[in-house]
Amino acid sequence: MLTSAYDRNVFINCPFDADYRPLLEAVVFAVYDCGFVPRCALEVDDSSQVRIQKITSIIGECRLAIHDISRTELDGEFALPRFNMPFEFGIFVGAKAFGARDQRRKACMVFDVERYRFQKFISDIAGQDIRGHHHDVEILIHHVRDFLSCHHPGAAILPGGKALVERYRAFVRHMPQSCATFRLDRDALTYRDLANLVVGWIDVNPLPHHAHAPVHMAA
Amino acid sequence: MEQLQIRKVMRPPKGDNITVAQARRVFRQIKREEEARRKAESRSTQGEPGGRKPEE
Repeated sequence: MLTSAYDRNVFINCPFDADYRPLLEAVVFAVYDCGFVPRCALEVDDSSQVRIQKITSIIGECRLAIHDISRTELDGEFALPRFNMPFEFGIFVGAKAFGARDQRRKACMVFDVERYRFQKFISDIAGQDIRGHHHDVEILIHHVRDFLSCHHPGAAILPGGKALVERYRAFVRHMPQSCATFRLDRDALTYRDLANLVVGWIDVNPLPHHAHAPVHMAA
Repeated sequence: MEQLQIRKVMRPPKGDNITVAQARRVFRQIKREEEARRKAESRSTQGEPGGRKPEE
């Protein structure tokens, strides 16, 4: 059964700084490996497009989302927290509440560093199941897998979190050599290059459920 | 063995540094090299006197 791109797209709303990079790469890998397509603001490098338009456009195209609201630390210069992640989470919730029928089918998971820390700074979402990743790539991949397995559009059985972690470790092991081949800076990959490397790796190391993934055109 | 039909998850846009096809070629090569290394290590382990199973 072919599914629409909307049902397979997953909006990734997380920090894009160097400290978070390992977690971002793990999320991108896990989403693709589960048979979905990660989408985020980094995928479009177009200075003529206003950033918020990019984000709302991508959110509109994604039934699912993974939000990380953990960046609450005050930055050094202005002593203010970053509000982008909770703001984009709010846009997603608003789209679900006020949108048309497809938008109302939206579902998401929310991460913080620890499970109940969010109650101190965003109590409106109390009662929702917030997951703690503790800055741990393995915990993150387990949670992403469990969330996506509940929303898989086909009848596929996804491999468990432990298997996905092993595959991710193998991908990471192969990255230095592949980046050297393409003369890419391993620590400064663009989102598109990362995505293409992940897809290329999965194509060479497929799992049974990947055989049923439909072809997606790039956004 | 059943041949799995691999479907592309996502096609790259034009103008990227690398394409999915290029990434596939490189990872296929890496995988072949890893398997060759594993086989070579397995052969050298079996060839050592200590690596043999004792006869019952």
